[in-house]
Amino acid sequence: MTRLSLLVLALVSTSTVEAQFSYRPSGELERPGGGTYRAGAGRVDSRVYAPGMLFPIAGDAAYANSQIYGHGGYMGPGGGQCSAGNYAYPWHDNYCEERSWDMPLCPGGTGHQGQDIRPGTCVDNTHAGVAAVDGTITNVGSYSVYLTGADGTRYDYLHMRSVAVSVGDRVTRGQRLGRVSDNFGGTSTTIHLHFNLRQNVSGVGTVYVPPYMSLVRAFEATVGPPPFRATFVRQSFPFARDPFELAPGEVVSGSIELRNEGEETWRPGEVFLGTTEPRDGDSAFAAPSWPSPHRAATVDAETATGEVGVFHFDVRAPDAPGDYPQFFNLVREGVAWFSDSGQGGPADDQLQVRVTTVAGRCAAGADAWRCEGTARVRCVDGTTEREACVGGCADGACTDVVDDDGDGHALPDDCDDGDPTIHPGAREICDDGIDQDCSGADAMCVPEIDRDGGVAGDAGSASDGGMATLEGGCGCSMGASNPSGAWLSLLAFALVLRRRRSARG
Amino acid sequence: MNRALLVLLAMLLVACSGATDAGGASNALSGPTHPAFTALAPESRQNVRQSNVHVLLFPERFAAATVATSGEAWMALSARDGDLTLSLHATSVVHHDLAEISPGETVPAPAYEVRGVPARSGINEGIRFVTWKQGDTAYSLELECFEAFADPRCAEPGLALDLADELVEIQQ
Repeated sequence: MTRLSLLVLALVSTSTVEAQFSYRPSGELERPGGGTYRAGAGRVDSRVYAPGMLFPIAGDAAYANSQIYGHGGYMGPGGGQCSAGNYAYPWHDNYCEERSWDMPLCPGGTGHQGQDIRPGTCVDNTHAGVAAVDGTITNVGSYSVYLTGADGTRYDYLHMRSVAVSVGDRVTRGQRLGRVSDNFGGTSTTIHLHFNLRQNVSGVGTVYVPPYMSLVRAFEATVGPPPFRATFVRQSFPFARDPFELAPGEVVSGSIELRNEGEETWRPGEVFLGTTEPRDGDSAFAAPSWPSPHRAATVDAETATGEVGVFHFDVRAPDAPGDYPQFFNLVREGVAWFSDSGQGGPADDQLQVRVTTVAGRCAAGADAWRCEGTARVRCVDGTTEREACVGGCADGACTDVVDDDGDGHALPDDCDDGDPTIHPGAREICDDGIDQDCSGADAMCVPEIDRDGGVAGDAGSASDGGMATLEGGCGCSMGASNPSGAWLSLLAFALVLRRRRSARG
Repeated sequence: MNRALLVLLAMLLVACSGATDAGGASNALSGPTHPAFTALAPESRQNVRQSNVHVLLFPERFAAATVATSGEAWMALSARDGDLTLSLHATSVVHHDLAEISPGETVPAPAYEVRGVPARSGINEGIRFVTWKQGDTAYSLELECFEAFADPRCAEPGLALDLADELVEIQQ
């Protein structure tokens, strides 16, 4: 094979790849000036309002995009309506594109209400507009043809010429109704089909419903699905718009589920959930369980077309507090990303997990008490609850909290935890042989000393029947039954009397 | 005998008088003898008779140019009046519920009223529409002008709202 023929083959191959159908998600509008995308003003709606309909333009090429923001449009990036950029994939939804026309189903309350589709080539009055379903032609206007299906759904074809049907005609699916043109009654527009779906929605009434995904599905039925395409089913992690706050280093397991809507079967070890925006960047919350820092997981099992594949993976919150968004997409390793030209998506900026590391936050799931030094701690709604244990902590429980007699004191402070009258601070009764206040010994009864130095009970009042209580630690307090103790007490008493008399003298 | 004949004549007169009233230009409930119906082409009259949804017809002045079609759960009218195209669609099928397709969302209240009920009016690609609901039937009246944005009949809601009020209700 010569070098020239190889080059030709390569060009043909590239051209074929570029011609493969792909589309941007519903609700994603083209930005004024073209090129990038404007989110937020479109209607994100993956519902297929007209399932099973035939694509309304004959042929295997068509380009759904904006006439205003495309090349040649008055808000477009320049060029003319036949610029190649207008005749390329991916498609763009323009159901809620800016118009002043009331549209209750669009976020802003106004919108375009239908979908603009350029035919395969930029040639007027050539490409056939065909019946999407079996039905009846119910109106033909200056630039419109209405087809009504059996269920009352109306399919509107605007801007056709060479209309081949009349009001009242019964038509069959695929029958030519006219040719796509720039007809706009007394003026002209770009060469395109403005396609509406009109249905009855309770709570609104008869309304133009979003046609984009119905057209996507219908076109795929014409050209065949791409090798790789996935649609989102669910994820166990919170959506990026919702808080997902974790403690530094906290690891949480979860999954993302996607439906295989491409031609190729997904197999473990071949199809991975990879990081995007940018592609193959190491994720800040990659967990040790990931195949690599830019591959969160592979599909859990062989997943054929139409089946749902699950991608299980952990996220590990970075140690530094902060917000960590991460986009993902599927990749057939070594072959293609699902968002590549010729594949069916999703786009690289659709699947997202966002982790926010919060300092001081405790790890969810650690709601059982555990010991931390002499205290015990647990996690309640992300906040650490701490309880000091005076007597220590074991197996998440404080060990000093036993108070058998219910007197508010526990061992070892309570010298008798079986008697509620005995505890620190209890009233001490002298000479009863019982240490009620847990001072270490029973108190000894001694005569009360009056202000005048007399023995209490001789004239003045005194507590304990004229006897004062002497008590103390250090082993110097004695019970009344101890004779030597009594003598020592009397000696002390005599010394006190003598000192007081000396002081007076 | 003469007396009986007089009574019979009087009854016929009353009956004829009633029929004349019903045949007047009115949007009140009318029988199938209303000119808005009788002036339709035979096939259109047949389609109207077969309609399972509540029938509204264009006023008599459009009848000759009107084509009526119907299906199991819908009925439609189409008429040309010079460079103006009139279209009416009616269906009793509820295709979706707003709560199902837009959970948690509300839509603005209808800003207009036709035939004694709330109505919405707007424009789609230059085509003026008025929508409303009567009983279990949802209606959509559309006006398409050759000069889509320059013709006030389509650019403004007035004519569409007036025509909606003028529609003739036919009792089948």
